[in-house]
Amino acid sequence: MRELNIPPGRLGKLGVAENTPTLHNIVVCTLCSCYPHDLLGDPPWWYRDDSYKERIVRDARSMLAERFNLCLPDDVEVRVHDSTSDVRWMVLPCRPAGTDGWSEEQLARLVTIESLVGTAPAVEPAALPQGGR
Amino acid sequence: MPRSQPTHRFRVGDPVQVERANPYGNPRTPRYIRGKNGVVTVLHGSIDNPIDHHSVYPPLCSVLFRVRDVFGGSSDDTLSIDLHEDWLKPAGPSR
Repeated sequence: MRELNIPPGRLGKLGVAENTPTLHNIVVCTLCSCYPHDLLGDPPWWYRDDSYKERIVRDARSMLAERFNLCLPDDVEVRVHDSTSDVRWMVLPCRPAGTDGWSEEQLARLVTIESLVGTAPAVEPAALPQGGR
Repeated sequence: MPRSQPTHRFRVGDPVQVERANPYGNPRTPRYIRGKNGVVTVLHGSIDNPIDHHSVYPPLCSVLFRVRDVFGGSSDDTLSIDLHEDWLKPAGPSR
């Protein structure tokens, strides 16, 4: 945030929800559409959509599978973060295997807007053009 | 931004219940979570947010709820909701 010179107060506080092998995080703002805009730009269009807001808090696991094609194992806890404008949440996706020694610039190519909301994992290196390196 | 000396009424691990209404006019608590029980997981302090709030609101907590305690069913998944302390009261340890 300091690198990007984001003024304090516009963003509130940044919350980072880190995914692990046993925890998958998702972000929503059911009251409005709070999001760390200043840091990450606009969220995906459906982030503002009532159909997303209403179902993701009730039944995130099924919604991820049916709408976002993300099937999570039973031993992974799904945690939905319902934000206010005071703490703007983003998801820190799990680092894909096979990325040891990658530079920040290379790793950034694995991050999508969906992975920062939590409706997708980071891109697998093999899915990048020419293997990504 | 968080203030340096926030005075939280709650501590991490405290069981809390969300109030059903708020006499102070702070609207920022989703309806579906009112009256529900959870556990405080993060203390954020009082956050100056002049664009959205007409004054500085009470300190903010992240509170963790089980989906089944909120909507029924049998899910082990969770909801983490950021709530100002004027919306929270202590709850008994058993849920």
